[in-house]
Parts: sequence; C-alpha cells; structure tokens
Amino acid sequence: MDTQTLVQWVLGENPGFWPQLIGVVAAWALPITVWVSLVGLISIWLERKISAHIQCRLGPMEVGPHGALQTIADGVKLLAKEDIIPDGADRFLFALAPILAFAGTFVSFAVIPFGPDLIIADLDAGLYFLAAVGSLEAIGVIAAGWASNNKWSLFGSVRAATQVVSYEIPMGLAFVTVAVVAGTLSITGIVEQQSGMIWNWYLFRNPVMPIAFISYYIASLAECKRAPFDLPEAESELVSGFHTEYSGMRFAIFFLAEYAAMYVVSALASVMFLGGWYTGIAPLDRAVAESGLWANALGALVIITKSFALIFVQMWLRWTLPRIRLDQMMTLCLKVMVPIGMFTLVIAALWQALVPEGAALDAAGHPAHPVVGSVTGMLVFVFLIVGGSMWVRSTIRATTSFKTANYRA
Amino acid sequence: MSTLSAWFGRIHQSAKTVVIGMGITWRYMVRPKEIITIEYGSKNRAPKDRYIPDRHRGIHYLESEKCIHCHICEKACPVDCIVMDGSREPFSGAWQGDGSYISKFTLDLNKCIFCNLCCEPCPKDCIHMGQEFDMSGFTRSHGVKNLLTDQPWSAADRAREAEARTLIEAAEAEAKARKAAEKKGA
Repeated sequence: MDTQTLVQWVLGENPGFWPQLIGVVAAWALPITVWVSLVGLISIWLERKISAHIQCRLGPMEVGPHGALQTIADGVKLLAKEDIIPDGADRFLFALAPILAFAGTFVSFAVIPFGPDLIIADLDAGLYFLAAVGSLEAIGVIAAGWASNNKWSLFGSVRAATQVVSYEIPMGLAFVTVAVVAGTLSITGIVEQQSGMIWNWYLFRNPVMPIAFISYYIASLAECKRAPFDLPEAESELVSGFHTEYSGMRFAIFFLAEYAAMYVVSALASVMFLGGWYTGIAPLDRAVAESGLWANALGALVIITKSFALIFVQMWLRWTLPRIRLDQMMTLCLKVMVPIGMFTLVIAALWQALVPEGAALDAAGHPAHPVVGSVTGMLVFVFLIVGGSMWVRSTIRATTSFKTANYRA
Repeated sequence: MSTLSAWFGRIHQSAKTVVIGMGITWRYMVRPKEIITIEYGSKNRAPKDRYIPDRHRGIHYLESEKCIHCHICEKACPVDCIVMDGSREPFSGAWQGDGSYISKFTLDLNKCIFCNLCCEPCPKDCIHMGQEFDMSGFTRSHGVKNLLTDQPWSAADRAREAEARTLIEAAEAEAKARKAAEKKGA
C-alpha cells in the first residue's frame, strides 16, 4: 500500500474506518485502560504492604481498610500537583517520553489474553509482537533521561538502555525455546497446547523448561527494571534515575507503565510456561469449556491469579535482594544467562526432535501429550537439580580456591 | 579448580543465597517478630507511655503553682521565645504562683529549638519539657502557647509524673546509700 492509498483509506475512501476505530476504542481500549489502572492500584498497594511486612512495619493503614484506597489518594494528589518542566529541557521530548513508555506497555495488552476468547488480537506472531513492543518502553525511558537535561536522568537512561538491550537476548532465547516446543508463535496456540492436566504445562514439558522459565523470569525482572536490576532508577545513586525531573501526572504515568509492565511479563510467563487460562485440572476445564461465558470467566480468574502470584514473587525478590552493580548485571546476562539460554534452546530442540510426542488429538480436539514423556522430563529435571547441586557442593568443598574465584568476577 | 566448575559454583552459590534470603524475608513477612510501627493519629493512638521516651523534648509544661516568675528561664532561652510577667502583689486575673502572681507566661513554639536550656536553670524546677509532640496548626499564632492555660498534660499525667519523680528520687537515694556503704566497706 503506497502513501496515497493509505491517506485515502484513512481520510474517507473507506467509510467504515471511523466507526470501526470508535468500536475498537469502546470495546477494548477503554476496558484495558481501566484494567491497567486497576493493576497499577492493586500492585502499588501490594508492593507497599509486602515491603512493610517484610520490614516489620504496617504500611498504609489509614485510607480505607488496611490502606486499600491509599493509591487512589496518592493518584489524586499526583493529579493536583504542578506539572514542572525544567529549564533547558527538551520540552517536546520531555512531554513525549512518558507517553512512549506507557504506550509500549499498553500495546502489549493487545496480545495478552484473559481467557479463551478474551484476547484483543490473536496474532500469528504474538510472541514476536510482544518482544518487539516490549522494548518500546526503553525508548521512552531513554527519551526521558535525555530530555530532562540532568546528569542523573541521563545516567539512568544510559543504564536502562544497556540493561534492556542486553536482557533482550536471554528473553528472546526463552521465547525461541517456547516457540520451538510449541511450533507456533501465536499466544492462543501456545496456551491450547498446554490444556489438560498440570503436567502438560510447558514448565514440565522437558527437562530444560524449568531452567528456561527461571531464565525468562530473571530477564523479565531486568526488562521491567525491578530490583535487583533497578539500576536505571537506583535511588541511592541517581536520586530516582530517569524520572528524577518528572512530577505530577507524568511521573504517575511512568509509575503506571512500570507496574503494567510487571503484569505483562507475569501474564506472559503464565501463558508460556504455566498453562495460561487452564487450571491444570483437565475435568474442570472440560466441564466449563462447554459454556463459553463461564470458560472465559474462569480463564480470566486463573490467568490473573497466576500473574499476580508471579508479581508477588517479583516484589518478594525486590525486598530481599540488594541492587547489583552494573558490571555484575552485565556478567550475569552475557556470561551466565545467554549460555544457559543457548543450552535450553538446543536441548529443547533436540528433545522435540528425538523424544516421540503424541501427535494425535484427543476427543476434545486438543493435542494429546503423552504423560510418559512429560513425567520422564520432570524426573530428569529433579535428578539434574539434585545430582547437579550435590556434585557442585562436593566440588566446592573439595577445593579452597573457590572463594577467590567467586569474588574475582 | 577448572573455570567451568567455578562457573557452576557461582551459579549454585547465587541460587542458594537467593533462596536463603527469600526464606528469611518470608519468615519476617508471615510472622514478624514485632511490628515496630505505631500509628499516628487520634483514632488508633497508643497510650503515651508506650512510645514516647522519657527524655523526649516535646511541648513544655509549667507547674505554675511553684513558679516565682524569676525570669531565669526567659534569660536562659537562646532564641527568646519565652515571655513572662507577674507581680509580688495579688491583682485581679492573676495566676497564683509560689508567693507570686503571674499575669503572663507564653512560649513561642515557632521559635523554640527544644534545647532544654530553660528547664535546667529553673530554681523551683517548675518548667519541664513535656511529651506532647503534635504541634501542627493552621496559623502562626497557633504556635504561641500560653503555658498558664494551655496545659498539654492532664491532672492524671501530673500525678503520674509526681509518682515517677518520687520513684526516681527513691532509687537515687538508694544508689547513694549503696555507694556510701561500698565506700565504707572498702
């Protein structure tokens, strides 16, 4: 389609365009906006409560029962605050940056499912799309740091660029591992293959999938700039990194984008490894699959529960681990996680090629995975974990030079 | 020690320490040893003696019945926040002190630095740093306390203060006696 046709199409050659656009906005964009805000509200409250309880505090207690409405009060406060643009800032870029950061996360929701039918766009290349728009947030962050005309902000965005570009690699390798196992990039296709009992989940599909899951999870922490990878906004070093100069609603939008990104990566983890909207109990899924409405309601409940469980682990990790140094972050990515990602990819591909899988469909039309294969995978995994750690421990005890080797890198 | 096994060793140690750390934070989260937060505000306020240290320097309070309006606290104040006046002779509207009649005793909390220098030289030990810490107000005049009428401490608080003082004096006397006995013994 050349430019002229596109312009004609947008400007009225296609009379159905504007009604269609309004329909999409009303049907999907508004509910998703509400949901993103809700995720932000719940996650911020959860984060404050979890951090407080880990540190023997109470957290917010005044507004609403156990401070449940504190985030709304804070949001109103941020709305009422003065919108400051510092002298010497690039005004256009400064205003654009939070929008870019939020748009990247918001667009990801187009392929994040809530149930069998509750997916906005079931793209054939859903995973690829997610990998592509997932890095859009980094552009917003870099723009924010550059436009602020502040050395702390610039350092924060330089770190963000380093971190996000580096951790795209292990994340992409985890995507490819899943794609190799699934044989598709479609989100719905990936989830459909994990129907049935809990051992059909990709987490247990072959011995290296748990490793791929952990690898993906660590990479997603870095992508979301969560601790221990919160170098871009390191409070103790960079004030608050790329959003040092932001105040009021622009700051709130950065915050919202961060928490929405946490939900996106967690929902993606549950889609890729934890069975998506399936409960893992085949009779239950089969029973509700008959009625479309209940299947979607249960699916939404299940996938949201799984996502929030993973968000909880993210917060738990944040309040456990100290921030790592920049060189440690790069070492972890390039020397540890990329080799592990390669290893999982190769083993998953070999497993796919060599271990016989049930290609036939079962009565419900889903691919019937052989229980033997998955159980073998789980057993091999447990053996690897236990045996490997015992071997490593005996190796550590046998030598004295480990300590120095450990702290050298 | 080969490089490879050092690599595995590092991964193992990292994973192990992360798991240990997460176990510790989990234990604190589900069963904290003690919740150290005390909620601020009127509705859930804990009794004062539970959380204000004895040496806390809050809003002053005056035992005006002991005061001789000698102006020593006024002179001692480094920021001149105390203003007092009175007379030896009774007059209408006077506040009864110890052989004195006080007409005015104000303390400007906007200026006060809570240095305790007014309390130390008082010959009658009648001005004290109290435990009240909530000094916020909407106007500056709110910060000017009339210590004759604005008594942050209730009668019960004063009674408890007196009781505490007798206890402390008894303990000090006992310690003195013990020291003296030890000296004698030595």
